This record gives sequence, structure tokens and C-alpha cells, in this order.
Amino acid sequence: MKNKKIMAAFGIFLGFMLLCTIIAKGLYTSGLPVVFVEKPTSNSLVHEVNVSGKVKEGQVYGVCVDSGLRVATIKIRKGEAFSSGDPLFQIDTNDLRSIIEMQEQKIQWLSAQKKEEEIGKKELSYAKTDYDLAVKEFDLEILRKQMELQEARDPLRLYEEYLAGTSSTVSQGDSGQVYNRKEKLEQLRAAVSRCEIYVQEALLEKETGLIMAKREVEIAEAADSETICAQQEELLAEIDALQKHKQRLQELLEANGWVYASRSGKVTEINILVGNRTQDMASILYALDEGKKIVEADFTKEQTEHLTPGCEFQIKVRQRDGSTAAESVILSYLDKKEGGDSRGEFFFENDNVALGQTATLSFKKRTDIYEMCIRKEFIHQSGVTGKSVFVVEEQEGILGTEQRVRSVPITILDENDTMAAIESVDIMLETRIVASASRQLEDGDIVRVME
Amino acid sequence: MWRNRKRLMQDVFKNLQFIVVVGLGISFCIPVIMLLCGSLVDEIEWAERIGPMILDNEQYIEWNWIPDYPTLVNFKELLFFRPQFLTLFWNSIGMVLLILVGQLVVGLPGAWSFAVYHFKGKRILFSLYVILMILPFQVTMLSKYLVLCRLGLMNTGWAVILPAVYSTFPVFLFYRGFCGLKREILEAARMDGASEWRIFWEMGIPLAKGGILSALVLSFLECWNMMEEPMAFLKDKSLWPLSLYLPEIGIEQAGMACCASIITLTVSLFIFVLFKDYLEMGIVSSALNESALIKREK
Repeated sequence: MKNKKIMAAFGIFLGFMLLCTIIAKGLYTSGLPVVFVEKPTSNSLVHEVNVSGKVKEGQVYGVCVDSGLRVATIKIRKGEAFSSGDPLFQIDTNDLRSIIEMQEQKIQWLSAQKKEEEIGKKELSYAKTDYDLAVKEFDLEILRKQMELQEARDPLRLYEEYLAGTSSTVSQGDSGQVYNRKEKLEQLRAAVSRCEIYVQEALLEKETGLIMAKREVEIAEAADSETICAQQEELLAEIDALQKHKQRLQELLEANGWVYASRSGKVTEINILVGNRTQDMASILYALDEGKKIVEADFTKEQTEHLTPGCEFQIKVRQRDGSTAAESVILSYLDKKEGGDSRGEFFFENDNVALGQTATLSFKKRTDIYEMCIRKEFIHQSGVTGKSVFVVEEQEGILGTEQRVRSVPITILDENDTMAAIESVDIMLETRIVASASRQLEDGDIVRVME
Repeated sequence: MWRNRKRLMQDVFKNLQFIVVVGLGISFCIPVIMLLCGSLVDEIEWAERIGPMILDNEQYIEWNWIPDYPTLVNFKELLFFRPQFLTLFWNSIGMVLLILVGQLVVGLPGAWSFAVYHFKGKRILFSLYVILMILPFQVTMLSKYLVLCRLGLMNTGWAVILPAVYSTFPVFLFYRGFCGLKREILEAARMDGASEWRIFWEMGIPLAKGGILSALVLSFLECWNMMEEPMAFLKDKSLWPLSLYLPEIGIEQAGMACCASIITLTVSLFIFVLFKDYLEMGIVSSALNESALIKREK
């Protein structure tokens, strides 16, 4: 009897243990996170770049006015279209008048300056003329003296020849005749000497006289006739420019200060402000609707990695008539900025598209085949910069074969929006990677796997 | 007066004996009581008690026989949230049952033949049995390993069950039980025309029930607590018996370890309580048989 009770108690105990086993296993199994797994695949990645761009002017023109004019009114806005003859902005007429007056005064002053320089030029020519005259005078004088010398030498020569011919016939006894001949000879010789001296004096006078004249010329030349000429030309040019400037200002004044458009276009930039003076640049920049166009688009750092000039994009843009144009454009220029972003430009030859129109650009690029590709949502952040995935591995435990997850670090070789090509020592094509889990996983967790 | 004094002395001595024996008995039970108390202590209180031992800071641990905050959280955790423990519990139950059945199937006929029949080489064979019985596991481990490997039974449950089934210890105990049977009864049955199988099955086993059950109880206790064989021959944790789970529980979960020990002990306790009469009977009868055997041989 007693044994029966003990047996019954033992039976109850075993039954209780069985019940606990069932409950414990149920609780354990229901507490396990359920994971879905996938295996990596060998695949290539498609990089798609989809951006919005804007049609912009390919060529820009400017409306220029003289600098220094005060702006009274600006009638157009940036992005506004205008037609030929439309008023663009107005210059303050009072200020314009004062500027014209100043221009006039300046012209007058420059003209006076020009006259002074012309006078200086005349003095130089006078000095030169004087020099030439002096040269001529002295040469004349020298010639005269030389002629006198010659006139003096001829009688002497003749007389010497006469004396030479008559010296044998004159003998002793006529000493008075001999004395007269000698005296005459001396006189003739003296005359020749005198003439020679006069010639030397004339030459010396020429020398000294020319020095003086030359100095005068040099003094006149000190003003440098070439500089005078150059300055003259400068002055002339300046006066001419001032006159033209004044002419323009007067024309502007006649138009009451208004600046009109010479052709139709669309304003792209306004470089003037009401109340400020115009700068030495185009006051208004505009583009022609029918001119060259470009499409400009901004790309993110990730998009930029896959782009190079020459990439062919597909563009869709609404045309003026409402229809949508779809064509190919080539990325002609890629301006990379700090931070990795970039701005791209595409030449666009569609005249039916208005400036400022939004365009949709798309580009697809397929890479080479990567050995292991997985979906990006499988990847987790590990630490600060690392990436990892959870892999499922079998392990033998007390409850039999269990599925355990392990965090495996990976290196991402390439990625697009949905897929990533990875590399890891611990991952093969047969490795099961956790695609999703019913709750947050930790390294070493036991899980239930749903294939 | 001298008689009264003698009686008094005897009473005092008896009481003293009683106190000493009871004290000793209680002291033998102290580990079990500690297990029971420890199983009702939660983690925080355990940390306070045995913290000095874990931290190794040369302080003494504290032990309260009655927990400050008794709780059943360890039992709840072990019984409802540790399927591993329960799996190994049933592994142990299954293994032990199969071992006992195997021992009955294999050991009983062997012991019967040793006890009842006389054949050439019986003494030598029995001596061999005795020698094998006293050899520790470490000595026979290698030979068992090689045989199991050759049979392809390594890392299976049979690697633990079969060597235990063919253990010589239960044969010895069964033999002792069968030795207590009167030869005359068996002879009488033979003369009545009963077959040897019938004598064994209908007379030998029922008459030696006490010895058989005591052998089974001892075998159960031995197999329930075995550690070396599973550790050596079982690599898969799913095949382990319960005795190998307890070392897996760390010191940080001392409460749960006490709880697991209590539950492990409970099964042995049930078996012991159920069959203690037979165990006592078996021990007594083996002692009597021993003296009878000696007398017979003399």
C-alpha cells in the first residue's frame, strides 16, 4: 500500500517532469527568433542614376552701359523674358547730366593741353631751321674766305712764276727793282697768309657758331618730339574717347536714361542695383531662347562615383508645345565639388524647350559580375565604420542540431540602391545569410530558420 | 543503588549514542539540506553569500540555513525555461531503463548459471568476473573505446548502454541472490519434470526477487550518476545524461545548480524509498548466504 503510494507519487513526478519538458520546449521554441535566410549570388550590379536637371542657357549675352552711372529703375527680374525694344532699366538723368558736363570740361582741358604741346613742337622746328641757316652762313663765309685765299694765291703764283722767269735778266746794278719785287712778293705772300688765317677763322667761327645752334636744337628737343607726338596721340585718343563717351551719354539722356533691349531673350543675371552705380561689367546678362542650351544637374557623391564625362543619359523634357521629348544626351562636363558631390552639364540641341524647364535624366550602368552579391538590407552596422552580416551556422547542442547566428564582418566592394557586392573570408556561396528576423539578433543567438 | 547507577549510566550512554548517531546522521544530511536551502535562494542573495569566493578577496563566505528571501524562481527557471535540463533528464531515464532491462536480460541468466550449474572453468570464469568488477573505469576505458570504435558505436547511446548492460557487478549481485535459493526446491522441481527454463523463470526469479531488486537499485544508482563513460564516449551533447549537465552550470547560477541537484536527487530518492526494503533484504540475505557458503565449503 505504502509502496503503491510512493509509486503513484513517482509517477506523478515523472508526469510533472514530462509536462515541464513539453512546456519548456514550447516556451523555448516560441522564444526563438525566426529568421529568413538567403544565399549570396554571383551577379553584376546595375547602377541607376536618376536626377532632375534644368535647361539653362548655353550662351550668355550682356547688356552693357558705361560704368559709373546711377541706376534709377530696374524694370525686369531675373528669369523674366523680354522682347527687342523693351525697356530694361533706367539711369538717373540728373546724374547723367552732371557726368556729361564733367566730360565736357575734361575734353576742354585736354584740348588745351594738346595745344601747348603743339607749341613746343614748333619751337623745335624753329631751332632746327636756325641751325640749318647757321650752317649755311658759316659755310658761305668759309667759301668766301677760301675764294679770297684763292684770289690771293693766284697773283702770288703768277708773280712767283714771273719772278722765276725774269730773275736771270735782272742782274746786278738794279737793286731798287729787286727790292720792289721782293717787297711785292712779301706783300702777296702776306696777303695769302692773311687769307689763310681768315679761312681758319671762318672755320673756327663755324665750329663755335654751330655749337651754339646745336645747343638750341637740343634744348628744343629736350621736349622729345617723339614723346610729344605720342602724348599728342594719347590726348587725341582720349579726347576722342571722351567725346564718344559723351555722345553715348547724350544719347542715353535723349532716351530719358532708359536702356532698351536690342533683342529678345531671358534674363539670367542682373548685376545692378537701384541707387548704385553701374560697374565695369555687363549690367544685365541674358540668354536667347533660340540660342545654345545646356542641361545642368546635380549629382550626389554616390552617384558621382559611377559617372565620367561621356556617359550617355536618357533625358525627358517637356517641350513648348506640351509634348515630352525623350532623347539621349552625353555628359559633357562634370564639376566635382568638395565633399564628393558634383554638377554635370549636358549639351542640349532642342530648340523647342524653354529655358528653365525641368528635365529628367536617367543613366544605367552594369558592372562586371561579382562573386557574391546580397541585398543591402542584410547588412548591419558594426562598430563605427564596419559592416557585418549575420550568418546562420549549425551547431550541435543538448537539444540537438541548433541554428546559431554569427556576426561576420564584410567588405563592400560595390553597391547600388538595393544590392551590394561583398567580400568576406567567412562567407561562401553556400553560406546562409540572415535576410530578416522577427527580432533584434545578437551574436550567438539560437534561431529558427525559414528558408 | 549500584544498580540504579548502572541503569542511569546505561541510559546516559544510550542517549549519548543516540545523540552521536543522530548528529552524525544529520551531518551526513547537511549537504542535502544545503542543496535544498540553496535552491530557494535567488541570484542576488547568492552573490552576497559566495561573493568572497568568486572575487577571491580572502574573505569568508556567509551561509544562512534559512534564506532571507526564499523564492522558487530557480525551479521556475529550470523546469520551464531550461529544456536542455529536461532533455538530459529524459536521456538519463531512457539510458538507465535500457541498461537495467539489458542487465536483466543478460545478467540474470549468467548469474543463474554461476549459481545453479557446475561446469568446467566456472571458478576461473567467476574469478575473472570479480576481477573485472573491481577494475576501475580508467583501466578498461581504452579497451572499451577500441571495441566501440570498431563496432561503429562511438558517439551513440549504445556506447554507454551496452558496456553497462554487460557489466559484471549486477551479475555478481544476482548471483548472490540466486545462491540463497535452496537446492532442494530446485531439485524437487526438476524431479517434477520442470524444465530448466521453467525452474529459472518461475522459481528462481521470484524467489530471488529481493536480491535482483537490490541489484537493480544499486545498478540504477550507479548508472544514474555515471559520468566517465558518457564523457569519454559521447561527443554529442544531445546524448548526454543528466549527470553531465550539472558541471555545465556555472558558479554564477549556483541557485539553479542546487535546484538541478535536488531534482536529480529526487529520482534516486524515489527509487530508494520504493525499493529500500528489498535493498535491505538483499544486503541481509547476501550476508547470510556468505556465511552459509563459507560453512558449506568448510
